[in-house]
Amino acid sequence: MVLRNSLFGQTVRRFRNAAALRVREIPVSSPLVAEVVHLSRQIVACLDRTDTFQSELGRRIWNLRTRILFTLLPFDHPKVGLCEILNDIAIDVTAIPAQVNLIRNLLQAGHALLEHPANPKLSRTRALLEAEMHGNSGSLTGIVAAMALGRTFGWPEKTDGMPDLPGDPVVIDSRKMLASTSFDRVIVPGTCHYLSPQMFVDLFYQGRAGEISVLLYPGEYFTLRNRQPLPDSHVFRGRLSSTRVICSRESISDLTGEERDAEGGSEESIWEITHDGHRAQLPGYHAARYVLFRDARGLFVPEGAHLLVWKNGNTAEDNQLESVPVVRLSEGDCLVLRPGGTRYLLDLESAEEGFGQKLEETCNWRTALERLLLTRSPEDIAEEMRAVGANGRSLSQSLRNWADGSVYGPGHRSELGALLQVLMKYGKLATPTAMDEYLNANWNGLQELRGIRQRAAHSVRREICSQLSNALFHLKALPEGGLVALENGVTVQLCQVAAVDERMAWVPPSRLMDLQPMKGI
Amino acid sequence: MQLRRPIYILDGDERLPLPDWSKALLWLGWWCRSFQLNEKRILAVAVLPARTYASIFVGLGSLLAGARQFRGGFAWNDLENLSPGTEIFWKTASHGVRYQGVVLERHNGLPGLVPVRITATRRSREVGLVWSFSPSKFAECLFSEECLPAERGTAATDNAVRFHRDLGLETDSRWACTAGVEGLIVTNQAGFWEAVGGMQIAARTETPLPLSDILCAAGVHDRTVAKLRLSAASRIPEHISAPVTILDGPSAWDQMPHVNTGNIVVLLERAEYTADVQNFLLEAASYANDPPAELMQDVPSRFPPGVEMTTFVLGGG
Repeated sequence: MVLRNSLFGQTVRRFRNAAALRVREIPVSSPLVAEVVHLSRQIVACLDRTDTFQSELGRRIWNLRTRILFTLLPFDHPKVGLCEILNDIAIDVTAIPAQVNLIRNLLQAGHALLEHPANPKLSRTRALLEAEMHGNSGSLTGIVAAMALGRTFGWPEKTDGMPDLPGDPVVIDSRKMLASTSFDRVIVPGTCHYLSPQMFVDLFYQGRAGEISVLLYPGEYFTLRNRQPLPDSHVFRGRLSSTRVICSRESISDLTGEERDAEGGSEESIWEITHDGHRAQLPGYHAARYVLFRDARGLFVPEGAHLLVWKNGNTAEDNQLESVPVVRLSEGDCLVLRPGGTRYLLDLESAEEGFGQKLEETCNWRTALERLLLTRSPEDIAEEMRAVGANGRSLSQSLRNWADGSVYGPGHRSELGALLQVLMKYGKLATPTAMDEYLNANWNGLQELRGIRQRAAHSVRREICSQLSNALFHLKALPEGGLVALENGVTVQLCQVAAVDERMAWVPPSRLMDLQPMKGI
Repeated sequence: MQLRRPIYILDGDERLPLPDWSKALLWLGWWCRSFQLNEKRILAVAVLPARTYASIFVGLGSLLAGARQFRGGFAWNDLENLSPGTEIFWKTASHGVRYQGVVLERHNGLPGLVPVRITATRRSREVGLVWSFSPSKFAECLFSEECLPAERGTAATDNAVRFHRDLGLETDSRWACTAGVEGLIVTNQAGFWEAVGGMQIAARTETPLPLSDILCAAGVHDRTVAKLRLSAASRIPEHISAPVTILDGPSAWDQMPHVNTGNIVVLLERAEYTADVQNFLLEAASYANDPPAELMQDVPSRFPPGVEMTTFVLGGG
């Protein structure tokens, strides 16, 4: 039965495709590419990744390898950028004496590709598309370009630089593009090892295509990742039908067992050359997920944290801000980061509840503390506070913050009590007749201040979200630099997610939410 | 679930028998609506390649089950028992004029009459008048605790009941105009209506009817009577309690702690089935009760490929 290309027709097709997907592994012969893959694997296996220089070399070699494996352009095409990467690697050729010969051989193999630039995967793709056109003229084919870290390697940024291919295939450069329609066939131009889990599930399990052809050079391989099954239930036991994914390979595998094993660590090694989070728990370090953005910057997000995300959809309801846990981020999501210029708004909002006056009234101990700090060090004062019952870990730093007003005051009643006692001991504050009442009044004042500030922050946040929603509603795409200026003068940074590391990393607290260029950039 | 006649979907001018996956989802909605357990609830999760139409078919299933269980609409006793100040809606059977009013304090000298002051009607001169309803006057009108639909809405509810009858179900015509929902769908409403738009549904060879009419659906803030209520995940109102809540997608899944009553159906696409969801379900499985024997009746012997489901009976200490 021929289905319409309506929403319902597409849904029916997706269920059909998902029920019995055909995956064809298509080996593509190229001794030169095989040589590059083999040599790069040998070199990367011997690199010391704790050494910055060697780690950077590893990143360059990985970049070279992915461009060669995933491009459909001729190898000497400027958009592939092979020449530049080979030159970058050539600079380091003698820096690791044990690897000199291997790196020279890799450079030779790379230059040989430039001398024989015809791309075997392009020829194979063309042949597949021509055969498809003869068999079924109306069919739609997609070619996956976003093969690693949510980015395209060895592809032009715009489709107008694409080679001329029969049947007008759609270039799939994002999950959004993959989800935009249902394909009769999708061509994947290389190993799926670096596809994010979401992209992999979208491609192979969501019925986006009836058939998937995976083009593999010698040394590349395809493995179907298994999905987590739903827990078994008594009611449906023995009544559910399994989904079939039929994998076939056009000829016998060229891979040796050793090569298959060597590829296994590649996914992990991408992240090793992208960020420097530790894989094991360390004292004082926090659990986090590394999020890589399209502009080659990234940050560690605390595990379990929720982030404000702009889902850039086609409908009014999709085009909205959502609070999303970090594990549910996916490629293409836009993270809302760093609203700038909010301090002024916060002060303005707090002033309405008389924040400034209350600050003066309730924190008269602050001037006393400033005076004491002129004659005694924060460490000494902290020591004396501990002697009368305070137990904060970084009291000396806190004392500086309380004195300059960047923090309103102690976070615990006992700490405030200890501070007041020390100030009285040195005669900086007059001793009250009823200490408990005096402490209570100061503590309640502090809590009131915090309450005002929290309410103001909530109100400002709500206002920013509302204005941002309005601004984003009219946006079709991410603006240049990802900056969105709001009517209230606040500037919001948006960053588009390229990939999220599936494994947890451990980092010092200072690295959390700290947007930095990815390692090696 | 035994439907005597096959269902067809009309997508544009193309007539398709209901696909197997949609029958499975229709059954799921019917099953979850049919069995309301005492102090326990059913949590059912379906993981699918696509959930664009999933909430529609689960919702339709819950409608059919709810209509089958319907026993009488708003009765004279119900009106008598309303406390003064309660808002009430009615429509005259003869002219189809809709009224909105508030129940007034009973007059001791007029036993057996319920006075109602008219607060809104298209006949503006009648606003402010007090009607005293006797059982016979009551029988001439159609009453509801929710706003009765206007002419177009009445045609739609008539279509819904007609579809039930085309399927061989004996649905009481008062069902569609009686307050109370069969299901709450937490979903992206724009996406929901986009999927419904232009689709028609028919039983066997009967005349196709608009799917939007059959669903009797309206937003949670719409005051008109509806059998399915739609809510955005960010704005589930506290006052709604439905026998079945359909959580469509990961944002809706996050709202599960706010669903305090009734059974729950969760619909996720395969890419949305994360480790968090799985951990939650494994935990739920560990403290789930054995399903009562009645739940096992009418469970299909085989579900089609592509539809992955699990279900647990939770609660009850």
